[in-house]
Amino acid sequence: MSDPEVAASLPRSLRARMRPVWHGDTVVDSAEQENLPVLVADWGSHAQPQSRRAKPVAEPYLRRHLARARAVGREQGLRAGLLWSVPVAVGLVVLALLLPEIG
Amino acid sequence: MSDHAREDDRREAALGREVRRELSRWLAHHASGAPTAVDVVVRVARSLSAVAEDELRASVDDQRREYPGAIPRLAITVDRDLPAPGFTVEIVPVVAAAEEPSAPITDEEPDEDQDEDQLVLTLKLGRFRFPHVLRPSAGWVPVSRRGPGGIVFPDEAEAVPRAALVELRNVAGNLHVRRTGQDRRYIVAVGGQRVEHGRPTGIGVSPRGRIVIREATGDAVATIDYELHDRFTELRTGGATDTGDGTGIAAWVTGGGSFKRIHVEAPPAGVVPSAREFTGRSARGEPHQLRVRVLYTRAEALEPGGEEVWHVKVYRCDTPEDAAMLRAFLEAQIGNVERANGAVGGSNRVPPWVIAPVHLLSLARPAAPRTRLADKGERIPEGVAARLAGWFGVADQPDVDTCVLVASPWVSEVGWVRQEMRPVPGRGPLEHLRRLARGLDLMHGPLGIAHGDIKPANVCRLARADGHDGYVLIDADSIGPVRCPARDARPTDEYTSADYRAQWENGDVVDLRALDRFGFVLVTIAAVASPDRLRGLLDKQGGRERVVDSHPRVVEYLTNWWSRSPRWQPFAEELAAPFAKGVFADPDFSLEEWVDRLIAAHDRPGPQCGHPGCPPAECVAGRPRDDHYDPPYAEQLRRIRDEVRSSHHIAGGTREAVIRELRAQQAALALAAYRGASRSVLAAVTVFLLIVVVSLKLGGVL
Repeated sequence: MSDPEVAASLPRSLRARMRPVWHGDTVVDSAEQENLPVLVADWGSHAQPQSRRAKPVAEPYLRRHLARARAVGREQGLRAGLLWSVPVAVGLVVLALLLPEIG
Repeated sequence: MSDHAREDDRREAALGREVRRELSRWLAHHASGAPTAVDVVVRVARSLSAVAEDELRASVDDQRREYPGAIPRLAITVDRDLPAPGFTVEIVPVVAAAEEPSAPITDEEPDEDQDEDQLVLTLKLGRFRFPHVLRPSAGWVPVSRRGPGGIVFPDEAEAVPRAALVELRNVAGNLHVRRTGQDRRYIVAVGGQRVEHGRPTGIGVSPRGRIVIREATGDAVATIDYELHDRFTELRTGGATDTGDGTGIAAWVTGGGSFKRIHVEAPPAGVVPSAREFTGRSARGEPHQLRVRVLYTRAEALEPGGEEVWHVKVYRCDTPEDAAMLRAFLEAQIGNVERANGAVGGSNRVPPWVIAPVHLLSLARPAAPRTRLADKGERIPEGVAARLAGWFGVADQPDVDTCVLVASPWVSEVGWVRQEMRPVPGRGPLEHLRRLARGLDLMHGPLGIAHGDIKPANVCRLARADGHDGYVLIDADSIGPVRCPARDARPTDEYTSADYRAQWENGDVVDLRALDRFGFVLVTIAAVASPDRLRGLLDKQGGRERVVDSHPRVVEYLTNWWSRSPRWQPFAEELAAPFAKGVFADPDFSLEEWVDRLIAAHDRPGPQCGHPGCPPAECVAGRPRDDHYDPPYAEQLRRIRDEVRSSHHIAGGTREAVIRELRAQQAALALAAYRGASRSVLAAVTVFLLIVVVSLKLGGVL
């Protein structure tokens, strides 16, 4: 499955919650937004000084958003699993009761 | 009324009768039509009330009508040892001819150019105080309550009759008064002299005294203390803001043939209004220094459509006359802002804007534009004057006419990027700055006006729902012609160039266009390099001249910011280029073209591997890449980096690339986590139940 398809297959609430805030109200956010492309592009490039400066800034920022997305996905997955476990449990109990009757 | 008060009234009435009887008896025997001065010496055991004293003076003055040439003067002394009835009256002729104390003024025209004789007339009514400028003039200034012009008492002075009973004028620093023909049932005495109708030249009165207005039946309706004094003694600082119960005021945004109702919030309590100076112009075009106090607050629209939130500036002047001059000044500035915005295709209502538009606020609903003849608009609601006076800490001066309110659409601070976030020059702000530069070039060229105070704090971000996004200048108070009298310029000292300061010290005219360009370049430096680095350019270090005043030092300074990287050397040199001698004043210099050159220097490909941040001396193209990423997310980070790097040659494309790739990686991670978690829970529940069921089965329960 390609990335856009993956994104589209997510529940809408999940997509909304994990979306990074690109229009933050704080100075810090606007600073990160503006510098991030340059920093990410520099990071790991041939330009060693730039890369060394970029990594401590760009890496934590990206990792923070990736970790947040995974945490949100896990949380939603736990809720969905618990929701589905109710009908599954009921079904199993019913099956266990009916099987002896059927013989 | 107490017995003592009744006794005082009876005593004062008896004294009045005695004075009239004694004086008329004396004049009947001695007055001959020639000027005859006479002192009426009154001794009283207890001080007279203010009203009684004024009535006594009016009574004495009344005798002049019956005996032309008589010049009676009243002198009252207190002698507590006087026996009953507690007063004596003595008529003492003055041997030498006395000077007429209320000599009618001649019809000669006062000198119109005596601005140094401009005085302030302070009227005190109860606990309220209303100062007014009284300029030397041949014209009379009516005094009324909520009248159409002249000295106007607000409704808070409800004891004052509405009609203009008297008119005043300043004749070479002396106060003159005359009675109008309006509302003749009132008798008016000023400074102890009754002012009669029918003397078009009026009478001269003392510079300090009391205006007593009473009905013909004898009841005093208003007593107003007045004092004519020098202008400088009127300047008051006021106190901190008292917002009372925190209630705001309703106001109307006017201009453009329509109006819109907004709610102006009370400013924060306890704030001391800031002081500002303007150069206003009188009706004859003469400059006057206006010292005003300013408060800042916000407003929200009460009607749908247009701007929802507004910045509001509340100015307060010492007198209504100053406020009228300030209003005229601001109206001229608003016109300049509209011209500037019109040059870039906007208007005072619709962006694009070079300068955030300003609108004068009306405190009463204005007349409907289409039915102006039939609709006179409304009066200012009660309580507004007191609320505004409280905001400025001058509760004793509730006069809305001393205040001017203006509103601007809401803009936010840019939030300039900090130094540690600028390892390389910023690229994003240059596009916004380019649009601003174009507007400034148009202002400086065809329009011939300049902003006059460009600095980072005066550049804000406009982000509207209709898609208009960019930088806009604020604070239109300093706008002026590109060649401006030095006294009219109001820049912030810190952001002025050495050339400007030399002009200001040596000449009468300063070049505001060059000053605007200087300020704009400083703003650009703050945007692409950070305000911290700009501070280093502007601060004096060790008593030396500022770095910004020396072109070679600016070049060296800017180059050092980016680690002396050859990659950014051309950009730093271009950034410093306007600081070379004579560039800011060069008529052919264009800010827009300069920003274009900066963008070109920023975007040009690197000399070796193509990466913009790769210096040739350090480029290790061909060698294995240093692209190690620690888990977790190593794969995601690598993919984001690769995507961004592959799009960096597209101007402005890297940002979108980061957003797009980060979101895609987030989606993939979240979906994997979602599926993993949900399946794990389901599996755990199923296994648990199976174990329970099997256990029960084996145990024979089921």
